[in-house]
Amino acid sequence: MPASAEPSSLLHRPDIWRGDRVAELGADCVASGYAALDALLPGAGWPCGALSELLLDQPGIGELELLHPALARLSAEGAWLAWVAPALPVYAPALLQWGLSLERLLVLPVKGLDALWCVEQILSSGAFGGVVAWLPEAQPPQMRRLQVAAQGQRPLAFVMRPSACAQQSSPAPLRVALHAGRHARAGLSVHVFKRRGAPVAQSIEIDIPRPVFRIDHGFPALAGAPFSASSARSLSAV
Amino acid sequence: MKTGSAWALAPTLHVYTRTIPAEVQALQNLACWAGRLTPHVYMEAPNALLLEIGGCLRLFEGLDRLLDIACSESAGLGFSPKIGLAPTPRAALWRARAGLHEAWQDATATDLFGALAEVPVAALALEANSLAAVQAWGISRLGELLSLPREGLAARLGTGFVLQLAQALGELSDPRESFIFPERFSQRIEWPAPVEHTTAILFSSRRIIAALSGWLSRRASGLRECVLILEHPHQDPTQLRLRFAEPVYQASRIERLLRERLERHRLKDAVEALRLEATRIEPLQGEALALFGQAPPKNSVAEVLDRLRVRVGEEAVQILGARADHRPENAHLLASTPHVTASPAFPRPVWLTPKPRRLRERQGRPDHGGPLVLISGPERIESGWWDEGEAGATGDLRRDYFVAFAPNGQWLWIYRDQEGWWLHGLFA
Repeated sequence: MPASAEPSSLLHRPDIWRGDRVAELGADCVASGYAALDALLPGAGWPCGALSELLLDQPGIGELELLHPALARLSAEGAWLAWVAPALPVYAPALLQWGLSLERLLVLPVKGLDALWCVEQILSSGAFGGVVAWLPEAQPPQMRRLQVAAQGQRPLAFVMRPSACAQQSSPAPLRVALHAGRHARAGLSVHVFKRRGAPVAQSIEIDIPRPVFRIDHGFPALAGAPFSASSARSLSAV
Repeated sequence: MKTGSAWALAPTLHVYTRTIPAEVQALQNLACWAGRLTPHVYMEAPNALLLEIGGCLRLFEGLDRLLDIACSESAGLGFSPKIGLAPTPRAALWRARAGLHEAWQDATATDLFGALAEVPVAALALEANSLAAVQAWGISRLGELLSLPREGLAARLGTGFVLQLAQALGELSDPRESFIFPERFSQRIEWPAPVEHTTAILFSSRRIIAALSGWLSRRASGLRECVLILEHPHQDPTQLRLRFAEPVYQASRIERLLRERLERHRLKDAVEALRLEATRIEPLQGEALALFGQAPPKNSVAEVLDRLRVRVGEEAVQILGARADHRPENAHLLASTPHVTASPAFPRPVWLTPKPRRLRERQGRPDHGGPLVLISGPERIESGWWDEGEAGATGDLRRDYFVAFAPNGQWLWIYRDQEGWWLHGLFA
C-alpha cells in the first residue's frame, strides 16, 4: 500500500505545512533582496501568483525601497511592471535611478473601481511580471477577486493599504505591516503578521537604503546668508 | 402559396420581404470571412460559396479541424451552412445542395463516381422541364443518370448539362471567377427596426468583424485602427474609434475591444445602421508556429494595454520617460519616446508633487508636522532662463535641495529658495 507510507514523508508535500514551520513554496518566489526579510517569508521571497499586502499609514517611509530589489530584478529580466493608482504622481528619474526600465513600466493613475478593474486585468492576463497597486478603499470581496485573478499567474502582486485594514480579514496569503523608524538612522519596521505558516510575533527592523548623500564642503558656499546658516546648523545636528 | 393561405395554416408565421441586395451583401460578407480559411474563394450565386481547401489542410492540422472551424464560426455568425466536399467544385456544390454533408471521407476519395451517385437529381440545377423529363424516366439519383449514354443525354437535356457532368467528374476543367477581396474594408449593417441596446449592436457587429478578420488574413495584414459608425435616425452619426497597440487580425481580440468600448458608451439615440471601416492596417510580421506544442503566452502586453486604454482612457495609461534636464519638473515626461538612460547623480524621490508645497519655518528650520531633520544636502539646482516666461515652462530657478526626515517617519525632498522652504517630493 503505497498510500500508507511514512507519515514523515507525507509532511514533505508542498501543500501540507506544519504549524511551527514556514511552508516551502518552491521556485515561484522572488527574493526580496533583504536577507532578514527573506528568512521570514515562505519560499524565501515575495510569492508570485498571490497577493502580498503591505499596510502602511503614509507614503514616503521607504515602502517602495522594500520592493525595489525584487522589482529591479524583474525589470532587468525584461518583465513588464505596472503601478496602478499610485498614491502620488510618480517621478520618472527616480525610477531610472532604481534601474527600472521605463519603457516596460506602465503607470495607471486611475481611481476607485477602475483601479480594481485594471489590477484584475493585469493580473489575469499573465503578461506582466509585477504589479504594485494602491487600493486604500478595496473591500474584502474585491480583494478576493484579485487574489483569484492572481492565482496560477506569474506576477508579483503588491497591494498597498492603510494600517487600519489589518483588522479586516483578507484573502492575501502574505500580509505585512510597515512602520516608519522613529529616527533617521532607524530602519523600516516590518511586521509579517500573516503568512503561510505560523505568524511572526515580533516586527523586525530592516535597514533599507536611504537617500543620503554627502557633499564635501569643498562645494562652493551657498550664496546669501539665509541659506548657509540654517543648513549648516541642521546638518551638524544629524 | 399566397401569404394569406400561409397565415391561415400557421398564424404565428413571420413574413419577411426578400431583399436580393442584402443577400448578395451577406454572401460577400461570408466570402470575406472565408478568407480566413483559404485564399481561394469563389462565389456561386445566389447562395453558395466555393472554397478551395486542398492547400490549407496542413495549416489547420487536418480536414476535421478545418471543417469544425468552418461550421462553428459560420454558425456563430448566424448562418447554418450545408457543406459538401469533393475534389471538383461542381461535385462539391451538388453534394452540398443535396445535403450530403456526412461521410467526408468518401467524398475525398478519388471515386468521384461514387461520391456523386447518391445526389438526387432534384438537387442539380436543371431547368424545370428537363427535371420533369428525368423524373418521368423514373430516375431519382444522379448515379442512374450517369450510367446512361452521354450522347443521348446531350440530345435530350442539352449539351450544357452534359458539360456540367463532365466538370463534376473532373473530365473537363471548371474555370471560375475568383472572389475579389475589396481594397478597403467598409461594411454596413442595417436593422429592420432601430436598436437601443449596445448588446444588439455588438451581436450584429460580430458578423462584420468576422468578415474583417478574414479580409485581414487574406491580405496578411493586421488592424491598427478602425472606426465604428453608428447611424441614428434623428442625429448625426456617432463615431467610435478603436486603436490597437499592435496589428491584430484575430476576430476575438477586435470583438473584445469593441465590447469594452461599447459597454462604456452611452447611446445618444437609437441606432438604425452601423458601419465598420478599417482605417489603418499594417502588414503583419510572420509568426512562427509553435514547435512541439509549446503554448505561446496567453495574452500579450499589447492586448492588455488596448483594453486598459479603452476602459480608463488613453491619458490614464502612461509610460513614463525621462529627459536630461537639471530642473526636476522638466526631467520627467509622459511619452516614452525622447528618453535618456542616464540618471541624476543625486537621489531623486519616487513621488514628486506637481506643485511644491509651502513649508512653515520655525526657529529657522522647516517644519512639517514637527521640525524636520535635514539629512543631506544641499544640492544646488539653478538657472533655466531660456524658457523663462513661456507658457507651462518651469523657467529660471534657484533652489537648494535637501533630503529631510519628518517626525512621522517620512523621507522628504525639500528645497529652499528666496521665499522660504518648500516640499517637493517624497522618497518611498
